[in-house]
Amino acid sequence: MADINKIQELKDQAYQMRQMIARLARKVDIHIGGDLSMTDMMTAIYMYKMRKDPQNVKWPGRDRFLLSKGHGAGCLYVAMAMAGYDDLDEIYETYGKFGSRYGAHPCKVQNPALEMSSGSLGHGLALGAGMALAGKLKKEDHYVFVMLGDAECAEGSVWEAALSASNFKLGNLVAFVDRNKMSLSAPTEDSPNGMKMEPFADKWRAFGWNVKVIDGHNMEEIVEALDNLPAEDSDVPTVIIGNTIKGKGIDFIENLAQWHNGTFDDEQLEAALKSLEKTR
Amino acid sequence: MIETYNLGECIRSARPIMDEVIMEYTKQNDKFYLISPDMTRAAFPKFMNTCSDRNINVGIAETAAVDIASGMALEGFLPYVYGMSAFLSMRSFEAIRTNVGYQNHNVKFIACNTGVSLGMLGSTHYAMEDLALVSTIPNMTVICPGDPDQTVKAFYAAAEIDGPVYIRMANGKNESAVYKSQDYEFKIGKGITIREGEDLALIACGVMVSYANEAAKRLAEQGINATVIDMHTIKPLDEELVLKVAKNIGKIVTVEDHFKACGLGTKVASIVAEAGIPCKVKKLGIPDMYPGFGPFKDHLEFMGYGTEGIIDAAKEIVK
Repeated sequence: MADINKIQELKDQAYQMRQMIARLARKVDIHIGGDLSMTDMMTAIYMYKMRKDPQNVKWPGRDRFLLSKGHGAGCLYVAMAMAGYDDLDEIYETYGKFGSRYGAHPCKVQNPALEMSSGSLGHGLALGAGMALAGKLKKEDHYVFVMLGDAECAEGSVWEAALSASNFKLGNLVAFVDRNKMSLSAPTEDSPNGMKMEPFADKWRAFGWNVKVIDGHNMEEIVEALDNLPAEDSDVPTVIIGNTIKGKGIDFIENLAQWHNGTFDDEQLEAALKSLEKTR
Repeated sequence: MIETYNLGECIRSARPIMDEVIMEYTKQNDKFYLISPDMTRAAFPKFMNTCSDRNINVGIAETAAVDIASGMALEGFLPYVYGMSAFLSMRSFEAIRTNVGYQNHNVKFIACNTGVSLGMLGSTHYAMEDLALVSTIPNMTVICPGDPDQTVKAFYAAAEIDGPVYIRMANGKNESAVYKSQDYEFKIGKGITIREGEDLALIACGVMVSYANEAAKRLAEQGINATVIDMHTIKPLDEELVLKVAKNIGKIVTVEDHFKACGLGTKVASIVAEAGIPCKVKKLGIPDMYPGFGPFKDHLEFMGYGTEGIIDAAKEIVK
């Protein structure tokens, strides 16, 4: 278990990542709601758990990370910048511009540090299952981490992959679900316009997965879940369902479907940074 | 002229042929895996009896088959995905386009039951648009072998390419062989001129090569000499050869077991039109309809691209 100082360091890094995301939203339209809901889990994955070498992105021993909810590219980019893969200024200056390595959905053709190009929802878990299967066949001992959105799990291909992962005993596959209970259009529960996902954990259990439900904003719980993953050679894939809040940390956008994506003006950025400061 | 069988003289089945090949290749290449949405038992029994540990059955889930293959390719494996073309090319099209083509992953596809070759199953199972779909994908190579045994050449040629390849296998059962000897050069992107004639060119792909060749033989008896081209690679298409016959002969009939609005014929016509060469082009294939049930040959006769249909079109174009 990480000591209290490490937890505090991760909390500080999550705070810094949220600042970076807010500043990115001052420049371009990003999917800020879902960026902020997964920030704490992304911080723990990139800054605590993942075995990686940013100077050697194809190092065979690395843990693989796939952002299945590819519209969370903003959060991924700042996490990778913080982890030493990318230059934050380059992200700010070039995002979305012609020839940039950074756009609204991560692309490995432009940015080879990425494992896959994503953006079309529902594919990351299946590619992750293929990579985890390959890892097992090669008797390698790395994990394959996949970050999914909760509303993304309406895609049938997620469940095709879930079925395969348990069938092929992919204990080296770890899915995270950013369970912010809000799709582009509506809350997933308790709304006539939403697609209900509950009983969500039971669905994964029924597919043969090891399920851990945590508070996706509680760094102690996230780290504990990561510390207690089954070994890479175990037989049961794990899903960590992080209950989160869309737009977490910026009070005037939290839990609002209209802040699925957006940009800040100067005034909003100032208000966002002040709101974030209050969370410390 | 290449020595060829008459239509129906030698019947071959690509599936058992490929069963042997895949079994042998599994021993040669430890990176090779066969991924399938529950299709391998029936198609490749010898492989399954001897190498079932190299078979990944993802269940009836075509998208998962393509995505899992894509993930395996990312880790250095050589996955071939085998499935029924209607479902492989359409249900998982986006996975093929985005997770294989876009990212240029080294995944191969072998598609069976293409066109109306499996005539009893109906239009849910006819892949009449797969060539059109997969050939829109940058990085994708598309092969439609013109002879059951040519599937072997396509299989090995595909393995040599570091990128996605789609091999269209027709039904894979009881199809007419064309080549009397397999000792001929097969090169991706290079059509094979089976016979030369100065009156028109028949450009065919896949199972229709045997019908085009038969039509040419019968036309010759009537004094009409046709060039016959086995255009086994749909992408990249052999533009040089198309332009050569367009320029030298000026009359082309294309034949395919595919929607004629969007397959080989359309690509050939487009090449001719863009070059500005005066050349008549007649396209034969499946018209804008959903064919019903029935034997393959009855479908061909009804839709006008069997031997008789090809002969009629040839006579019309040389008038």
